[in-house]
Amino acid sequence: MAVLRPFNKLPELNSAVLLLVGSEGDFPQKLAETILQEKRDFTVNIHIATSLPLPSERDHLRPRIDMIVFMIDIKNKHSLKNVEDSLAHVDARFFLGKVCFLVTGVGRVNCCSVDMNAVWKLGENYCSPVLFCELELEGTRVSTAQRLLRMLQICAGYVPGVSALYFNTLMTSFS
Amino acid sequence: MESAADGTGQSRPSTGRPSWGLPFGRAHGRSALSPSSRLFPAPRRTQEDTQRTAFLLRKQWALYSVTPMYRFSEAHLRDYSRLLSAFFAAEKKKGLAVEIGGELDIKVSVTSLPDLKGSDRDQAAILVQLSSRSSASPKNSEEKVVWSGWFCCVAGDELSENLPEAFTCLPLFLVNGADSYTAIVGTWFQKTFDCCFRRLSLSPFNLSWMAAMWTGCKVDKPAPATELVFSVPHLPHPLHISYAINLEDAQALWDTIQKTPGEITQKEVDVFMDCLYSHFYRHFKIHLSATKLVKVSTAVATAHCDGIIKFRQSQYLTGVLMLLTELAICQIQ
Amino acid sequence: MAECIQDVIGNLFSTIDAKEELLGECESIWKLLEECQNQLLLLGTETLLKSNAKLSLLMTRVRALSVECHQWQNRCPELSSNNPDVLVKLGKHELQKAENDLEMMLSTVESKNRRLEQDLKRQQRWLEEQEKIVDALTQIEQEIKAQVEEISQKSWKKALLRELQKKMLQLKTRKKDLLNTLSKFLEEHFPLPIAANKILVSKLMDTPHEPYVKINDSFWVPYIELLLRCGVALRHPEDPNRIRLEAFHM
Repeated sequence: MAVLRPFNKLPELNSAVLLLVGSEGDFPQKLAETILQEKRDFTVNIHIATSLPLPSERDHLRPRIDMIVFMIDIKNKHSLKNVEDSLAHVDARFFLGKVCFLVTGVGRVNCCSVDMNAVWKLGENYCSPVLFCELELEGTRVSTAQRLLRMLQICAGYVPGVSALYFNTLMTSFS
Repeated sequence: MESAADGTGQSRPSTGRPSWGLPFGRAHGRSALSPSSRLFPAPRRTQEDTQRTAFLLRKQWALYSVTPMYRFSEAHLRDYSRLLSAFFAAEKKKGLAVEIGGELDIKVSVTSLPDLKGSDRDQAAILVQLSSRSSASPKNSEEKVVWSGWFCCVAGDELSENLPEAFTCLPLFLVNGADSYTAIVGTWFQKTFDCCFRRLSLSPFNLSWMAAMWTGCKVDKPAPATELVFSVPHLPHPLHISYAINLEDAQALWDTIQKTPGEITQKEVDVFMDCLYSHFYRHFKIHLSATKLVKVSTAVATAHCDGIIKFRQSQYLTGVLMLLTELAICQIQ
Repeated sequence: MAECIQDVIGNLFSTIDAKEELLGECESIWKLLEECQNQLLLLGTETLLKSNAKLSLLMTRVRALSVECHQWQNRCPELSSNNPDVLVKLGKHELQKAENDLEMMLSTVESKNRRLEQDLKRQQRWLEEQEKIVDALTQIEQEIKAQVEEISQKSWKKALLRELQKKMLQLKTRKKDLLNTLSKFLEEHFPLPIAANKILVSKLMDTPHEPYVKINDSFWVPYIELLLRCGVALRHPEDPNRIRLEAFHM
């Protein structure tokens, strides 16, 4: 089945799974490493893919995915197209709070190849928050990792009283 | 409940280190983003224009953005020339600007170019020229222009509307000549009029706008091909890809895309660039959209991402200056 | 002693009971989860088309939000188990977490407060300085006004003239002294072309209304620079080839 579904498998005990979808470079790797260095009280598994759909051969080995982060590099117009194409392979129910767009490379304004209006529109159309970060600077990389970890915690249901949809409504109503 | 703390609120001076650009912060409004459509004026064809502005063509101009100047008046241009000459001579005596090859006498002239403006609300362009006469050559020989710089403002309404009385809005500064002279002139202007000069660089996003805008301009034949130069990142050795397109083909493509003459929308620019990229992909299997566009060369003008421009056609000069003025104002704000 | 042992054994049994109870609860919740999962698998997949993504997504959100809201309203807080040991442990754990969070918040708020206090102090100091400046300026203004009145009121003309002349004389002598000491100082410390020195000083004394001296190459350039830098001489603002000696003010 090529489409990613949010609840098609049973969850594992005390663990959460994050999927990073983004194009080339070692940015997803760096971000994953920074997330795993954070202190937490549940296991985190991070899967990295360059685009969707994921190859279906290993589908039965994959755990249930709790949150998807689509990474867009501002210096690379191709990454935006890649993300837009991948969105078609995600079940609609994922967008009820389990998807987030991450725009990287905002440190260098002069190398911007991507139309920012298009990125904002993408966030609006899919009702998901758009986060900005610069992965080459350690400080913002760590704070972005902390934000994503907190969102993952909520999406996996480890924060009692806060559901993913509720948090999503909070994030998107202030933009 | 954790609060969504935003880490992108700081701003630092940009000197090649990463700087937090305003358009990306969530706390700031989205008014600083690029417009979804721009106007491109029709070409002007007056003979006198072409003659007066002929010296601007076919030279490489470095671009700077200038903040509004305090107590600058057009009536005192001659005084400014005198003061600037004195400043130059003083700098000379300091022993800093030592020229090899004899003493050079620098003469400064500050004049106004009334033709280079978009509407009557704009300030007329100001030209500063440094000419020299080598002491070795005879006294009545011709003076040679060694450095020129000009301030201009074309359709800069959004900035000049809100300025208080004493300020003059000339946000774009173009320079041709040695960097040492640029530094001296820049220092004098900054000290005298309390303004600030910053290098204006062109992002690949803006360059793709320019490629689309200028391809659609009708020019006389023979015209050079449109050329786009891309630089590939993440490689151990720098690699540049040059993509040349026959002008007629490019214009034919643009004509099928553009709907309203004189107005260009973001969507049209995207479609144009996507067509070019997919054509390239079909032949070479390389995604040009993943590379960085560094240089755009058309029949109207050539632009480089370091902020260097070369005008080729005088009839479209105002149109090009309008876009550059808009980018300069964007950088100032 | 026997009672103690009985108590201990009793506690042991109750802890084992508590554990078994908890495990039993976990199993039942897991079964519930599996049932829900089976029901969810029956729902089909739907993907979003690019064209009407926002509309269909917003409608789904409305439905989901209303269902969630309904659920929250109907839910009553219930105890997960009745065993006192479990409750005590749970309670302690929750309280500990709450305490940690509150401490973190407290330290953040305190640091914010401190920073605000520092800002406030700085602003107050600035305000005081500005007020002092305003006071001093008004005082000076008043003094000058008083002086002006005095002078205009009394007919002091002759006395004033005499005073001014006396001051001029004093200034002249002082200036002469300073120039002499300066030339001595310069002679001592900087071997200079004596001609230049003489020319400058004589030009100043002779033609006080035309104190500019044309520089030509006979003057030693770094000497000129030194004079400029020390503020002793000034350039003519329009002609870079002339300099004059700075007037010494008292």
